[in-house]
Amino acid sequence: MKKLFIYTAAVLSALVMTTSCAKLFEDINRPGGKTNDEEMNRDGWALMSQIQALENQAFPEQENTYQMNVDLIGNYCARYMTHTQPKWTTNFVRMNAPEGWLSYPYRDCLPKVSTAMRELGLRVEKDNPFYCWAQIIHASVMLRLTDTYGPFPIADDGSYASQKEVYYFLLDNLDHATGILGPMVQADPSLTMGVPAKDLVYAGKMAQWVRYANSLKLRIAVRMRFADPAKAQAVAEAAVQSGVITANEDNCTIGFMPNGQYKTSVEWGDSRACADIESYLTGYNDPRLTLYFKPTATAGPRAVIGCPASASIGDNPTAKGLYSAANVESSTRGVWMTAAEMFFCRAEGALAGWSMGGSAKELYDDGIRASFAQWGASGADTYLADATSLQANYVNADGGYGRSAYPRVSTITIAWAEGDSDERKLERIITQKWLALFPCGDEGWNEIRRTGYPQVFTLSPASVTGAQIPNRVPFDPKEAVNNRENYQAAVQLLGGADDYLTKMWWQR
Amino acid sequence: MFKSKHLLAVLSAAGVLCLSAMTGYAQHVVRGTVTDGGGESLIGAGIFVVGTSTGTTTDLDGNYELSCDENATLEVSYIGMATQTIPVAGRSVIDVVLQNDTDVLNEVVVTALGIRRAAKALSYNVQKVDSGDLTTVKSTNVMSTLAGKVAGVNINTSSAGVGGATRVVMRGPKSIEQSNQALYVIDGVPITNRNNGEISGGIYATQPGSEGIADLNPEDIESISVLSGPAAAALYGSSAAQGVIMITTKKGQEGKISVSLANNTSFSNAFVMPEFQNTYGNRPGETMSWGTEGTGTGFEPRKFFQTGYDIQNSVALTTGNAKNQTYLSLGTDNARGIIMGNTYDRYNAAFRNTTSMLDDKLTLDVSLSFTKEKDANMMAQGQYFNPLTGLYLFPRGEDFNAVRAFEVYDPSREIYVQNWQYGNDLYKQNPYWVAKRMDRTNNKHRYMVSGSLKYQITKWLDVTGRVRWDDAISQSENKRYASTLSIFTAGSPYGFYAQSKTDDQSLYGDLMANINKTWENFSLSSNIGTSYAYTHYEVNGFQGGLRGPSNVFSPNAIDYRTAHNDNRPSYSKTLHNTVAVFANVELGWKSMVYLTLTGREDWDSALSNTSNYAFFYPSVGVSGIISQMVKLPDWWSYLKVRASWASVGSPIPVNASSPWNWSFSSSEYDYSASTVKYPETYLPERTNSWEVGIQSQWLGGDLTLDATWYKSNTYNQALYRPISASTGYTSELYQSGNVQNIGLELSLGVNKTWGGFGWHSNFTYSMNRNKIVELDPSDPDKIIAKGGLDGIGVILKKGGTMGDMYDYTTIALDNEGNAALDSNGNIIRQTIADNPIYRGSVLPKANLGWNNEFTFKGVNLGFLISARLGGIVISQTQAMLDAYGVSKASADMRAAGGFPVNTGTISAEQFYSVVGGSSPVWQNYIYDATNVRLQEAHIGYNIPSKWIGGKQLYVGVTGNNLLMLFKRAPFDPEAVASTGTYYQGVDYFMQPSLRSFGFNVRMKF
Repeated sequence: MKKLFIYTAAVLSALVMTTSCAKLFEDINRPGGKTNDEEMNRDGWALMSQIQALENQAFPEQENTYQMNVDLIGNYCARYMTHTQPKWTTNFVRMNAPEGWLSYPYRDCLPKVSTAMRELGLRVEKDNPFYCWAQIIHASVMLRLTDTYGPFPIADDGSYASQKEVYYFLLDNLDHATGILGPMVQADPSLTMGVPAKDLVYAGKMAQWVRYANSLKLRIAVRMRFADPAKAQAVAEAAVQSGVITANEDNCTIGFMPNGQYKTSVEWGDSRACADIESYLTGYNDPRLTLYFKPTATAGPRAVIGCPASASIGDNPTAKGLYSAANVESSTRGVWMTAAEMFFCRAEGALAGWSMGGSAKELYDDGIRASFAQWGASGADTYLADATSLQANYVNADGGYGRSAYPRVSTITIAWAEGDSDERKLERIITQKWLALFPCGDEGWNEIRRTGYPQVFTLSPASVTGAQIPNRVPFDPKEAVNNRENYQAAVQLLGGADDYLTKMWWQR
Repeated sequence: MFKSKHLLAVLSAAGVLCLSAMTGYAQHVVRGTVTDGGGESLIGAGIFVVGTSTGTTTDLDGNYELSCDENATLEVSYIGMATQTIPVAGRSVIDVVLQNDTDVLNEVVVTALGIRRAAKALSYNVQKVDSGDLTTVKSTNVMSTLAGKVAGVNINTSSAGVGGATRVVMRGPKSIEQSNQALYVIDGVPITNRNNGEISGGIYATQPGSEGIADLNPEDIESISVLSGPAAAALYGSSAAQGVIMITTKKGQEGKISVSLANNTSFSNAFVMPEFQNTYGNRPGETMSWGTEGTGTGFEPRKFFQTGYDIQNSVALTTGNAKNQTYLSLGTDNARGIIMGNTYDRYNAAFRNTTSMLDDKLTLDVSLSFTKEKDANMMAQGQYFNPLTGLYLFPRGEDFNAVRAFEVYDPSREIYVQNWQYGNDLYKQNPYWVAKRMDRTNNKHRYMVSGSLKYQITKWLDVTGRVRWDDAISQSENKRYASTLSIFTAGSPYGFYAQSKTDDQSLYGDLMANINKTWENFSLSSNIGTSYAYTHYEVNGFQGGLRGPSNVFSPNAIDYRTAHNDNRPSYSKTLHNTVAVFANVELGWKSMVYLTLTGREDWDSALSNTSNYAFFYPSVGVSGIISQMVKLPDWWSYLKVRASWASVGSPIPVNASSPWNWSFSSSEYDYSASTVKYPETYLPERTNSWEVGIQSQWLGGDLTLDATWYKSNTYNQALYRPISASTGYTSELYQSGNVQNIGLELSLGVNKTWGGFGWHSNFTYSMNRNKIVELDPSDPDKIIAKGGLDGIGVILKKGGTMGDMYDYTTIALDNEGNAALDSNGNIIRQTIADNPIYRGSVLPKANLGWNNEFTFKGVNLGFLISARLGGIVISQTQAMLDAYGVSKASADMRAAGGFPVNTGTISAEQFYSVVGGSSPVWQNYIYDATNVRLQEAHIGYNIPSKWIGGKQLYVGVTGNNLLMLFKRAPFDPEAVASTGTYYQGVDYFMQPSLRSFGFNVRMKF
């Protein structure tokens, strides 16, 4: 009878619950290990979480994000690195990448970015300094994404905007951000916002963020200068006027542990130096060669050896031994924008007749000096005076993969020659800019697509399209299924087939 | 009405006890023997004086003796026999011969909530499988044994090896996002079946585990009733839409102590293997086998596998008197798979006691069971933790014996390190290393305590309360030794360790009033009750790369200071409860027409924070015994027709509506907001179903036919619709959809005895047509892409099925329609993103099973042939084997000189580098899934009990998956990598299914 009593009591209490205990149900329906809005708002954490989430996409170092967004696409297409995996016979360089690779930046990166902006928008007004800060980082990601695919969504209805619209949209956002943050920083140059430890880039120092925002405008302006020269010049001159990065301590680098390239190149051994960058650095006797890359594990003809892009790899452990890994450690800061890049942007602007605060030669030399200083390399003056060294003829490692040798494809030298044609001056600036941009593969690839420089080795085996460098990455194939109408409109905006060859709006 | 033989047995037994209290009352003594039709004496038959509480039972020789009035009437009963009523008429010796009770009119079956109901009153299909069908040819998971034996149920065993989970789907998949697995019920009480057989699918999925239901000792099962339709299960509420597997466990029997022993031993090997080549070796320095002919070393991958075994022992004891019956059993199951390291060990103990008190008005039934289970290294498919990649793709010019010594001593490190020089693409490692030095174990202790208390208030009313507590604690460990590929060790050169503890608890309680009353021509049977269910699931653990020294496996050895995704604690907790009230009313008229109504209201915690957290589901059914209403021909012994309708629902996924929706991302080391957009209001997912059926018997039961036609529509499905990433969400939960399943379940039986020869045969046929009637009314062209592999996947769209496989790949053609060639002279794989090609559905069109049992003078022989018709499967394994030049197909093409194109031929190597591999041209790797097999066979002998002093002894030999009579695919299409709804029909280095041979011995004394 006692048990009967217990059951009755249990059931009666259950009945009481049904009528009055919505609260209990809510507690039961609470998953362990998760938090809610109220908890997240403590210590300003929700806002900083969004800043951090944006940084993780804008300056991706987390191993998977890094590999899928940067290493496989930018680093390989920029001919900085190449892969060492026999199974990766389908890839971006051969222009036959598998679906998961095509879709990753779109499907993984974009929602995280949009979610962060949405969560911020729910908490603060658009003119709030936090929102402005987020807009700067947001512009960095969106620039990378549009430069990957071309037309890209900026509205939240699934529709795509043309690349020109995306560029204008980002410039407007950056103007909005610097319009609010700029005066605040002028009033208080040491202004720090949020939880400094959670800002892995500038530790909440807003003066540096504003400088970065101006620099990003300059990057954008130079990128669009062939497509929209007037707007490009106006934006560039205003950016330089407001102050872009000129000192390496203002470089945009992220202290994310572990460094993404450390994972892909050193730990996993998926990536090794590419023959192209190795042949330029070797030919130029560039001291950055051994700062960028580690010596090979297997003794070869040179300390640092790159592998030809597109080579079919027979065996990964062999390839890892024959070719050089990136010279990074787990704690190395990821590099996303440097003073050197800004000097080269300004040099190119000066060449185009823009008011950049210096001549093309001065700014070109400053770019090389800044890069040498950034990497702790000495001998910049000797290097700048070298008017004879050329890209080296490439010789593969013994038993290496791909073609055994390539004759050099470039005749460009290092030292500035005022008498050269503008085109040759451009090639010189971009070749050095490309060398200095390492390891930021996205930007390296952008320069090759935009200007055709530096000149690169012919792929062997050839890519599926026969082209040497892809102009873009095809859209996420699932968009054609899940978001059909908008996808078709996006292809219209693209102005060509949804393949690797259709050009970006900003390409020459 | 409620005319259970069991009830009679209990009543008669009750009489015996009263007898002892009434000694001296005797007037007239009657004695005699009770035997069956074959002359065997019946032990423990009940003899009961009608109208009194006097009674007795027969002794070991079938004799009885009792005192009664000279004019009294005796009622003699025995379970499984027709009860006889015999007037004493002054006789002092009355011998009784009881006949087998084949009268289905009085058959009683266990239905939802454990309610016993007359079979003839049921308005839906219930199929019963007896203990014998589950214990003759055994498997580590009792559910695997059920495959092919009941209509309307598809049972697939995971390819994980011994201990693997099963996928049990009844009447077709109904829910697009939620589980389609059946609900399990033990003795009327639903249990939580944690199925770890579902994997996310694809290349990088973790390997699966076992499932809760596999913890049962098959010997403890009295019978299994399969309620395949929602109407049958409507009283269970939310989980009922997918059907119910009702397990009735054994309880103690009245009578002398009886002990039974059973041993089943079987040995297994790989059933279906891919076809390999071993004549072409590899070129030096390469890991693919594209070398010249004759350089092969004759390597045969099959030799890697060991002989698996499965040894199951059990002992069961039953004893009892009329007041108290006890059942006690112990069981062991020790098994190993065909891949070294894969083991499964289970130890079961069960106790059950049934006591009646207070003049039999109060019945207490208590059971306790304890399971200790340890499994290790289940492996279903994929690249990770899979020895088969390294094995199957091993370069054919190298000597495999060199890797048999899978580890070598490194004197500088003073540890053994992996021996493997054949490439790490596809994360290949030494197969022996993967099997032995990436050790995954799971150690579970589970106990269940349940009690039920029934109080008979009046003759027609009782109140029953039940409670069950089920607690399973599992400890999982994962040890990866130093020199494992660094991707698996969080980059550590010293190894990797993970451990986690899972608490999986559930509490269930209910209280029911049961009414059984008859007036003149009418009968009423009704149950009104309330129930409470609560589950608690919590995982706590640590994992990460080791910080050195090597191979020290403890949480203290984990290198938390190195920033890495995998160096972290693991934690999750999910609670859920449901409170319900329900009622069931069955009205009968003249024992020939029955009307059944049920209703249940659920309050579900998953719906908290929504506008309505209660929902109701009704069912209605009628059945009529035509053979009692009209005069049928003599040979037509029985005909029943039935029809029912039910509407059942399930809530939205647990926690979906909770405001605690910021989850921790270890890779970003912070909380991130949900990327799923949730609606403002929720509706329960609802399945409305119809079924009509007939049940008929001919020639006095020699031939039986059960047929059921059903149609179910599942509405308001909580669907995740991928939405454009620009919205800030990856997907949106919306409620829509209508998935329809229409099907037929047929079961045709033969039960015939000719003298000493008996034939029992059961043929089942199940057909199901799955159709997505509606996906999104606002967008008729809506498409939802579900997982698959690179270039192929399931797409859901209006008018399609839930298994439609679409192919995104083809070979590029030139203007003349010939294969276009690229600048290297090779064919080109083309992705057709916006217009994928429909290749077929992975769902079967029909399943057939033919189970036979022949008996002759103690010898019995049985076999089961099962078949699946229709549907497709795909094999990435074959594509990989082709690309690596290790398949027979690749050798055949080389021998034929290559692949012809319009400009000549291209080499097999070139051809397969495009057509095969990880991104293949899929049309070459899609196969018809139709297959027919000899699934089970056994032969055994009941040694005459006279020879062995009245004991029972049975010996037999058994076999499982003996012969594939027909198949097209290069693997066993019935093996599944995942037990979830999707990722079906996909082979990505799946472990071969098992063929087994064995013997069994059963003894009773």
